[in-house]
Amino acid sequence: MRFFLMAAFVLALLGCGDRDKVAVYKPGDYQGKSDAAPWNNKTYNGDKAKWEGDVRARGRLQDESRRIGG
Amino acid sequence: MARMKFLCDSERCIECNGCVTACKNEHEVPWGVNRRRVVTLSDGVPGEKSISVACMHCSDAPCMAVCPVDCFYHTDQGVVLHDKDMCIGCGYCFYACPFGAPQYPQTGTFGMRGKMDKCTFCAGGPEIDHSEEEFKKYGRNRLAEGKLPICAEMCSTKALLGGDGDVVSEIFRERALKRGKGADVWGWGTAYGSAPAQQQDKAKEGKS
Repeated sequence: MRFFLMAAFVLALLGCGDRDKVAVYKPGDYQGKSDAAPWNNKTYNGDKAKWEGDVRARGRLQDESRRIGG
Repeated sequence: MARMKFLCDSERCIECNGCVTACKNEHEVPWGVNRRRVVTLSDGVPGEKSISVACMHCSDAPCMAVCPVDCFYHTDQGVVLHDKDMCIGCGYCFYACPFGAPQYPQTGTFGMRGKMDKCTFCAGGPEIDHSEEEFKKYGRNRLAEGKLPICAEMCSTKALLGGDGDVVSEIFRERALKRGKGADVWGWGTAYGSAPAQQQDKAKEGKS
């Protein structure tokens, strides 16, 4: 019983807590959310080399002389 | 891998606006916001040139330097992205950008400026890849699918090239060497039956 009363007291105290809602900006530092690398997803499962190879191959397709063999 | 870059070949751009349309469609960009546009120099004058312009993902981006809330970041691939949750729509980045890339939706009262929107190199933003939030805020993340920006891939004349800087510059270098310069670029020999300038020069050298 005593334990539950203590737990309830602690939870009640936590409810009074307040976090700072104003972001602190430091010039030159990105303050936003972090972003994942383009290979860290379900498609590539962290395989950076495969992603780089795919993007390079896709880039070379923009050269029409290679596509038509001219 | 080198940095991701765009390159627009003004000799090939036919001002079709296919890149603009493809971008708007792919990312469902709102009315009034153009992440990419085609600029024509000396419009209507013989020899006019067009180029497709969007965020050039500068290595030393002025938008990043002036942002008062530091909402911009560079990815490891050299793509300049920003966190829309932090953007306050102040417009400083628009004044700083030499290409006029930052855009602002003006759907609020009295044309109130919304959060900045710009080309993401089809790399989404700081949300979980392929999530609904990412699509709503930043558009589709094609780079995470191993694809290149839709504007470059849709370009009918392949004037707009995008991707790994080394690959793009290699393609352009080969192309520029092959097509030559002056009348050769316009295909004078093909159109009028005369030999290209280089062959004529060789013929002259042979005679003398």
